[in-house]
Amino acid sequence: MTPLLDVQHLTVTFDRPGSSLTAVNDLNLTIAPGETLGLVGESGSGKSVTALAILRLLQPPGRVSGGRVLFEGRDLLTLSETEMRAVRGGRISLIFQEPMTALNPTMRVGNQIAEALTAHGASRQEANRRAAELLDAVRIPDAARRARAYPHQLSGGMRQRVMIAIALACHPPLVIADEPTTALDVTIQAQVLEMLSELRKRFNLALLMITHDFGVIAEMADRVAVMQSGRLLEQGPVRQILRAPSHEYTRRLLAAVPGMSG
Amino acid sequence: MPLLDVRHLVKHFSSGGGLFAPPPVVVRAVDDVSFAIDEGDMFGLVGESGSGKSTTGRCILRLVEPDSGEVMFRGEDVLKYPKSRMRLARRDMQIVFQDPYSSLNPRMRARDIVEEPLIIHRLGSAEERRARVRELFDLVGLDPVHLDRYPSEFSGGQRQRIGIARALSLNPALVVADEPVSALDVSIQAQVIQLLLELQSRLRLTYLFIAHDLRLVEHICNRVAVMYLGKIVEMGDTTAIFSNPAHPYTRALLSAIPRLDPDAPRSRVEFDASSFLRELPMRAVGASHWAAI
Repeated sequence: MTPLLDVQHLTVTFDRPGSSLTAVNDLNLTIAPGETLGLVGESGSGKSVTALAILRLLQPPGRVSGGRVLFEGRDLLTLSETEMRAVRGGRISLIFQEPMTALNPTMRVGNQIAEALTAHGASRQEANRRAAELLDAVRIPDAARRARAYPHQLSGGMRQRVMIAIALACHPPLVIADEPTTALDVTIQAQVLEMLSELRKRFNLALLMITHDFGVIAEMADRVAVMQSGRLLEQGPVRQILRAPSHEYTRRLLAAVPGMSG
Repeated sequence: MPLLDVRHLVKHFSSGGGLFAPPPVVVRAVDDVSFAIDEGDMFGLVGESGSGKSTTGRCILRLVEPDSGEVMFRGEDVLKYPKSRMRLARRDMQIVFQDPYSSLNPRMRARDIVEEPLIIHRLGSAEERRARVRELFDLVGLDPVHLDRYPSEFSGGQRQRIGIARALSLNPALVVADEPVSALDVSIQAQVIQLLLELQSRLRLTYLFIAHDLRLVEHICNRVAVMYLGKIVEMGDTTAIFSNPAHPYTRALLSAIPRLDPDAPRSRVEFDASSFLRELPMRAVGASHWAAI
């Protein structure tokens, strides 16, 4: 099967006066339609930079200095900014770790979901109707009333559901989730992960799940890619990586998870 | 006699209630909390955000003044101490904070951060203090070559070691460790936890370990108390609680921990917050195991 996303030899460089730092080094990743790939690594491993590079959201001094990002048959790195805007949110959307900083604090959450739809061509009426449906789909109780709330009036878990609703607004085939549950309590995390799994099946979503938590990986991922210092160390089916990692670093990471080493 | 015996601790916060504001909202952050820690224990206080676990830790050290209750430390109620006596008592009870980025003064050198408690408590000559700082650096696995560096020149794990060295400078008996590793990467977490365990046996320390990470608590604590909305809902030996949770909230909490085995059967239990009865007393549900059910 042709992969939905095929990242080839991606290299990201941060230029600094007199020197440059390679944050992502010759990275190769593929994701099939409907598949969940877990991207694991510690801080500074380059996993978040990879997500930003795929969506061309890197800020200077960061830049893609090599490679291709093939998605639905096109290299995203060669698209015009206008074409890229249609991809972002429309074909690939992004869920951030901290919903409080990612949502607009001065806008009602229902309007923020509707905005994602109008930005991609829906009429105002259609957008409002869909926004209510989406709040329902992410299991926000009393959705009609919650749509009129501002982000600060919602709990962390509810805000993350709103983020997910925005991400799903245009039925993108691929969602990139960057530590989507790291800021949440464990019981809320379990609810959000369960909901993501359900939506993934319902919409045949492919998911690039960026996390440092092997527990989340075990719950969600079909395949796992492990990064360290900008390099991909290994990539494989989740059972193989968790039970028989081939790389020493992966073994150490797994051993550091309390309860794994015994 | 337990080293620390907390009895009926209460701390309520109220917010709002101005001229044009709606009536004040009272948050029962710590609501009649009692537990005891024996010398040498690694006592885990777990809960989700807003459960009151950090406020409990702070009330014990009187960094936040509780509204009522008793904090018996070596048989004496430290809440009754006047300020000067409390300062003396703090030599024996120290705290390690969560965030090694914000809890260290960025304008002080590492050596000064570690030395400061000794100066405040007027301990030793300048020379003795210098020697003590080097000894502490060594104890927590920092290279004395880096004594003159500023916090920003250390990694997160090293910064937390500085925080630990500072907490240990006065030779405390009790260390309140408030989420000491949750801001760190998992492999660094393991190193800092290893250090805390080593120090426990070397210095005969007693810990109140405040955490939200249940996997970690199961791994290192011998006793655990679970907090929910200001109440301890379950308490006892770690193995009893993890193998046989009695309170519905504890069951929900444990079932929410992601399993590391992709093939493990999922049996999530939901806790219905509206079914929570605050006033249920703790009762024994097994050997060294109590729950408010």
